[in-house]
Amino acid sequence: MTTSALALNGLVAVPVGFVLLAGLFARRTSDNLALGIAVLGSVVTFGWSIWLTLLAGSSLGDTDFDEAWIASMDVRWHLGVDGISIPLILMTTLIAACCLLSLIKHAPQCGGRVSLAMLLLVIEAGVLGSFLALDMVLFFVFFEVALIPMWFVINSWGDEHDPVGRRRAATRFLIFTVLGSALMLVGFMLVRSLTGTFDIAEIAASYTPSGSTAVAASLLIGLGLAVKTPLWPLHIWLPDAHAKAPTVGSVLLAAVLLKLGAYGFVRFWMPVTSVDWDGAPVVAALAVIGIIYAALACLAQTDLKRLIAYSSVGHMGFVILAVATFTVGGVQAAVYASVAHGLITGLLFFVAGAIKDRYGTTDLARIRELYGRVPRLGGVFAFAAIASLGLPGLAGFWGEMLAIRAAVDQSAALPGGTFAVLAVIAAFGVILTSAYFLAVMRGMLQGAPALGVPVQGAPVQSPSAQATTDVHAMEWVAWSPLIALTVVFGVAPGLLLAPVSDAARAFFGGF
Amino acid sequence: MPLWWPLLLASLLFAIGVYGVLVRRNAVLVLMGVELMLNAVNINLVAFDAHFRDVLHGGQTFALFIIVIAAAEVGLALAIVLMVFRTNGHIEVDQLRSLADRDEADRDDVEVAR
Amino acid sequence: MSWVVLVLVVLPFASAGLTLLVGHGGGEAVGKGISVGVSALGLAIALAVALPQLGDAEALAHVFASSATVGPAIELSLYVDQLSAVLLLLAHSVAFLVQLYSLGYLSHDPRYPSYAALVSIFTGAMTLVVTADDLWVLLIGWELMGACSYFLISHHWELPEARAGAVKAFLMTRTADLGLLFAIIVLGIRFDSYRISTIMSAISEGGLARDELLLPALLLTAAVIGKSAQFPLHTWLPDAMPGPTPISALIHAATMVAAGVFLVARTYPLFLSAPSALNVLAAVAAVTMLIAAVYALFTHDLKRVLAWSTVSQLAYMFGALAVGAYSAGVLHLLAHGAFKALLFLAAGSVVHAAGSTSMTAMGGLRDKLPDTFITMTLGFGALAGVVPLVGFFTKDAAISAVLDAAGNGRLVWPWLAWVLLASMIVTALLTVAYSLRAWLMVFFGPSAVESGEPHESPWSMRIPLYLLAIPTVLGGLAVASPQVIFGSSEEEHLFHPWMSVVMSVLVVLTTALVLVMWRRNEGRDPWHPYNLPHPPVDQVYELGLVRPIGWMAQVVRAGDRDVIDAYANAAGASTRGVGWVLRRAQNGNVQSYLMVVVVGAAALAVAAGVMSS
Repeated sequence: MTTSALALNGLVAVPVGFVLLAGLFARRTSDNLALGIAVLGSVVTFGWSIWLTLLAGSSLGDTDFDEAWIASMDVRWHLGVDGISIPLILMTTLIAACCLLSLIKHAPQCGGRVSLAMLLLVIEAGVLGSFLALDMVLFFVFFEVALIPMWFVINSWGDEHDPVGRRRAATRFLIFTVLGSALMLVGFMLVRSLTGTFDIAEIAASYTPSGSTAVAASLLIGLGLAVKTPLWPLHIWLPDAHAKAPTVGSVLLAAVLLKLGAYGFVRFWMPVTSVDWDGAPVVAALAVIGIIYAALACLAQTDLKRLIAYSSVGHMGFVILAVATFTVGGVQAAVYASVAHGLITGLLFFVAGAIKDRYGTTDLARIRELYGRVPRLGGVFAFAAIASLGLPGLAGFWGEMLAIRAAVDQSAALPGGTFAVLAVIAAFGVILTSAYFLAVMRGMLQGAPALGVPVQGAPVQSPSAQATTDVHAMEWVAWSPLIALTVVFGVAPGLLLAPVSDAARAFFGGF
Repeated sequence: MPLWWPLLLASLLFAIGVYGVLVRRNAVLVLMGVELMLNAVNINLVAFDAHFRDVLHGGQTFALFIIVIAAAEVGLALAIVLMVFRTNGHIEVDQLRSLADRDEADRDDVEVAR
Repeated sequence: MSWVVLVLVVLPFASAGLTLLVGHGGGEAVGKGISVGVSALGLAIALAVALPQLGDAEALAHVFASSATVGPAIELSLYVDQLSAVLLLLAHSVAFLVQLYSLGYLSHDPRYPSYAALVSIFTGAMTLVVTADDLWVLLIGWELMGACSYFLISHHWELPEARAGAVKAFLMTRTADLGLLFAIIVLGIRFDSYRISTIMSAISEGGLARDELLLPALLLTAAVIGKSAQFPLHTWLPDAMPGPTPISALIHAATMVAAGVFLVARTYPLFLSAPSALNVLAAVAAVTMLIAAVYALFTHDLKRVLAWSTVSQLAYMFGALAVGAYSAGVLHLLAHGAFKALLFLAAGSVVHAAGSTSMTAMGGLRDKLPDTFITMTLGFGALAGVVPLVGFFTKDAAISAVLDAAGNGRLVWPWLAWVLLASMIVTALLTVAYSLRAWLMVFFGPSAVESGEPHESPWSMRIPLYLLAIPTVLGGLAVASPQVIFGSSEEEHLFHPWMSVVMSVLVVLTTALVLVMWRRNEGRDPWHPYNLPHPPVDQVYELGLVRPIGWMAQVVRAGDRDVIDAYANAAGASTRGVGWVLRRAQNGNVQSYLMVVVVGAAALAVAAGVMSS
């Protein structure tokens, strides 16, 4: 077995192996040991992904594993990495490791901590498989593997005050995304009928889409991925799912699962869509509408987790805007914004979870003056909020800026004026983002009554009550990689940009 | 004799049997209809057996099978009818609707009062 | 030498991190020592870097790192010329003095480490802005300053005015910063480079039509209007005054708001090639300086007087730059940085003594606060333009430059130059009036101090005052010989002597008028009881922007709940409905089931028969 085969297959197999191991130990011995094994599994997976990064080159052919799988349908087990998927893989394994580490101190109230950890590892395996898959049907399979355990996570470990709500949120999430991926599968079949293969690397290199079947295929694939990303107006599953999910579920959902959609757009949608297609500006327009819509929705939110969920919709709008420009710069922006969003929104959800643990609620009208009560937690939240609103010098800025730049400076085949206008509107979306984050900070951290929200319910804990514990050591361990990387990618964008542009040129060929 | 005589008889008997099964409300009458249908089929089988001069007498053999099965089935069916009478007090088939696929809210067409 | 500049940029950030870790970890005093010590070290390095770059020195440029993106590369490149050098000196000296001053002013503040760390980060960001050669690096420093300003204004977040002021400042400046963002993108596309030195030399070489680069110039104008609080984005600066006074000195007087002027000066070739933008700048400056001076004249809060005064003086700098007087504009920037910082820090001392920022609660503090009195008098004198303080020279240099421009009409339309000139003269007189009023109300007249016995501030607060008084008094020498700073290419004669004489006469007349009115009102507010309403621009923003957006947010939220969610719910409901309809067929009646079977079988048989024939 060659090194790259071991590395690629191992990346998917290792989490699954540790799931089985943890399951075995959960029966025989104590909970803590089994959880420790699961955490160890996530850390090992992170290390494995670093090894894979060192092996990876800039084009897909450098590390490649291609064997026949379902020979009768011509479906192959084709795995590979390049500069587009490596940053996302690293981010996934890091976030998963942080999630599992945070489970050590933070046990869910309804118990079943080990099962939750095992489910998270399964989801991680599915996501990693999706990022590695280069065969369309294989991608679909891993896509589903990543998404079905999430129903259990949200339904069983979600918001403990609202069993009906969390079932509804979980079911809605599942139905929406499964419907989307079913459409995507149909689209894949259409592409197969046009090109004769399921292998996306071949398709990207040689296929030029034209004709109405190609348009139909691209529409179906786009629709399926648009549900996942999400693209307005298919975003409606997201606020409920994020708000009702447990902390680790929200982090994984926002930071990792949304990126599946973004990655799918880059890897599977762009090669099968013609640059001359009239719908490309429509996709960009929907993305920009999503940015503005999500920002406005955030201004009216009363629940912290819902607000962060809507902010995710806004950020992914920038990713899709970048993708719709059909340029290498756009691909760079999309990957960068995805990684930055994963780190920053993951951190935001971790902090929201920490607030929920301490105060039992995430209702913005009731949480006040965190700067006074838990100053370090408040400080971390302020940092994450500033990063999320795109302050230059932190990771969030480059993603948004590069997307705007790609839109102003896009491929010659697309209507320039439209994209420039969209870029300007997206920039105003940045201002609205600043406005709502500032409003949240003002209310929650500093103590002002929230904007336009009637103050209902007593504030949690009167100020004279004993201070709740501030950020403890385990939380620092789980959060500091995210904080550090946000700063690192903010001051050194080249770390991500160079591999992505090489990979994009190699993959798409025709740029 | 011409083939069509027994066939005509069999069809008529079958039609009467179908009428009995679909229209009559009394469960015993329904069972009678079932018996009529089965015996019509028997006549059909024997007629064809005789007409084609089957060496193996498949038709007649099959008719014997049908007689046996009919006997067993009617024994079981009459036992069920007896249990239904003990539970419900009547054996009107069109009023036995407890297996209807209905939500609790609109169970108004079950056990229709006459 | 260039690596020293990099150290200068990185040092304040390192200091911030250390201060936070050590200060909040338990070592309060050590944390304070670190922040002040590193700040002094930064000043020393700044001196070492900047002084050799003054005069006729060659600019120092170096590219440290480059990231390959599609299109022009984004580089960490630094560039130190005369402009950067003087601003480095200004920024680091005021920052050091502010750190020293804060030791006394915020001595009992439990949040001191965060405060000091933020001041350090701010210093690093300002250094980044003035030494950046890459437009994106400049933007990073620019916005980082805005973020630090937000956090520092809301340092006393218990006060609702502080919370409101911080948000207003951040949002207004961030909106204007979009102009800078798009200007960078446009310039990058046009010149295929983001390096300022490359772009500016390409523009200076010529070959561009007049106003060909109008779009980026206008976008930059929008950005500086926001950052430097010019009309119509001038209202955030006075509302930022609930922040601690040393912050007002550092950020809202000497450095951040001056960054707008710096940006115009740094990209001066761009503006010179698109004079229509300079017309816009001149018009904005003319309007702003008058409005701000009028507001300063009537407000009762000492810090707000100084804030409006800052807006007005910034407009002076923009006015000078708009007519092509580069040295006059930059020299006024430096002078203003010194004396306005002095005024704010002295105001802090007064507020510390009187317990309130309202001038009606002060009076007669001349004897109780002797050091503050002397230094603040010098500050007000420089602000009013009293000979021989530095303010006199720089202000007259600006006015003379505008007079020249009105004559030759090279860049700005002549009528606009005359309007600007008139505005400048009237503003100068108003400046004298409000400076004198503030000085009289604080230090003279009957004492209205309520809280206890006012006493002089600690030595850590007085030393910076005296240190800042030095350039206030001696700065005139630099203005008289600008080639020491800017090199021999700058013009020697900066002002017309007869203009200065006319101005001095007018100043004396205004002083006399104000003194008369003050005496008549028995030593209190000379024009009690006139009160000005809040700036109407704010109401326009409130009605035109804030309310509609709030309303749209509610609409969107309802839309998500009632419209889009309704589609999703309808999909589920309609599926259940179809199921309900189809379930009617399962009515439990065995005979109806059998009917279906019989009819269906018959139909199939007929169909089979038809199809096979």
